[in-house]
Formats: sequence, C-alpha cells, structure tokens
Amino acid sequence: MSGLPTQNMHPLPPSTTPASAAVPAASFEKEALPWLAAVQQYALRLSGSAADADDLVQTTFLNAWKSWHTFKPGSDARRWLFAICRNAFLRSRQMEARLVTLEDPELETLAAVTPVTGDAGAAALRRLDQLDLPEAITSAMGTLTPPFREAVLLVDVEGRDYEEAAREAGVPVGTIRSRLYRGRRLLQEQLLGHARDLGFRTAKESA
Amino acid sequence: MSAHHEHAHPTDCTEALRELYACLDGCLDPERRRAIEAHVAKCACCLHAFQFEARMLAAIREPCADDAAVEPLRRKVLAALRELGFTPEAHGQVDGTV
Repeated sequence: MSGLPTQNMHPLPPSTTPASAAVPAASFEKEALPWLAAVQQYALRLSGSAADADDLVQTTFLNAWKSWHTFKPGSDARRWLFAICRNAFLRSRQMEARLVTLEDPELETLAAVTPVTGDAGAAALRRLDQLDLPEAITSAMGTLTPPFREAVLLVDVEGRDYEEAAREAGVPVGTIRSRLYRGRRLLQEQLLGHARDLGFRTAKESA
Repeated sequence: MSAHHEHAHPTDCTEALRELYACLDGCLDPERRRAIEAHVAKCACCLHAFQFEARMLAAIREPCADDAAVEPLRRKVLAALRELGFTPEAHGQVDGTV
C-alpha cells in the first residue's frame, strides 16, 4: 500500500476548510482532473467492466481530492492517481486476494514459457488479428485474480520496471515477476480461448 | 500445452522462450539480448511466439475505453467532488488528453 497517500499533514481535510479550499481546488483541477480519461482506461483494465470502472474512477477522484494536500507538487500526478485507483480496487477485492497462496517464482517463470510456438504460433498470430483486441484484453483482465492483475497493470500499463512494481505492490521482485509472467500467460490463454469461441481453431487443435 | 517442438536448436529455443518476457521487458544485458534476438530472427518457431507476446503487450497498453464514455463520467465525478467542497474554476476547460 506504499502508493496510497496516507500521511495527512493537515489536521483537517480540504472539504471542512472552505476558506483554504480555493488553492487546492485550482491545483487539483490543473494537475489531477486532466488525467480522468487515463484513469478511466486504467480502471477499465483493472476492473474488467465499464460499470465497475466508472465506480472505481469516482472513488479514485474522491479519495484523491480528500488526500490532495498530501500530493507533492511536481511529482507524477498520473501515477499518484493510478496508485489510489489500484489500492481502491485491491481493497474492494481483499477477499479474493487472500485466495492466492501458492507462489513459486522459479516455477512460475518456467511455466510462463509460451505455448504458441511454431505453426501454432503463426495460427495464434492470425487469430489475434481477428479479435477485437482491446475489448478482448479488457474481458481477459477481468478473469485474473487481483494480485496478477496488479502486476500486469504496474508493468504493462504503467510501464514500471520490476523493481518499482515490486515496491508499489509491497512484495519481493521475484514475486512480482512470477505474478506478471503468470498473469500474461493467463491473458494469452484467455485470448486464444476467446478466439476459439468465435469459431477459430485453437493452437492446440492445429498443433 | 505443446512447448516442446522438434527443432534444430532445441537449447536456443528453450533459452529464448524462457527469457522471452525478460527480453521484451528490456531486462536483459545487451549481450544476452543480442544473442536472443539473433536466434529469434532466424527461428520461425520463436519469432511467432515473440510476435504474439509483443502484440498482446502492446494491446494491454493501448487505450481501451470508449471516448464517448469520458464526458458522462467526468460530469458524474465533478458532481460528486462538488459535494465534497470542490469548486472547479475553468468550466469546460478540463479535457481528457493524455
């Protein structure tokens, strides 16, 4: 939870001090609100559904406004908002997160070796072109358990390196790597399954 | 899963596929990266796998929300923020460009 701004330096939140709220309102409007569309994209990847994403975006901006006085001017507002969004999502899914108990980084790294090689790989590539990929990815993300989803979001959407992602998630680098690889592998399986459902043959069938 | 294919360079393929994500994520040292890339360039088996993964990772990064869905959400969020004491000044000036 290192990404969530929790150090309240001021005794009162902005909402209870209207006189001083004018200054944070202007900076919030300038620094935070322009990222609304980006946070919506992020929330959609995170939650896997448009309705859940909208609720998550609203929660994110309300939490961001309440904590705006803890935002360090000049730092990355986009990533600050992403962290709030991620934490809000993970809190809402805490029960699910506890279900993930077995993690062996080395085993997962090996398991991440892609199954779509050779002719099957060529076929898989063609099927990928026939999918509505953004939509397929969104629904595939929705099937990942929160820890896997968090790893994919931190590295693939936010563009953080493994070390940064591990710090944000509060886990060792080996764990974030294993979750990332496993998450991607699951997404890949989902995409291929999605393509099969559309009537195409799977890599396994053509191999 | 059929990861084990008959191939002239089984060791190279195994290594390349094992380090596929590390390579795509830019986590390999330059020498190692060049070795993997050289193998992938001449191995159709691995090339397809790398292309598939690269395509998927690019799609994860791509925008996915409907542009038309931004404005209704912005209005909803602004209304909720106002209830918490937020008063926007630049009406209509806050756009969603990234």
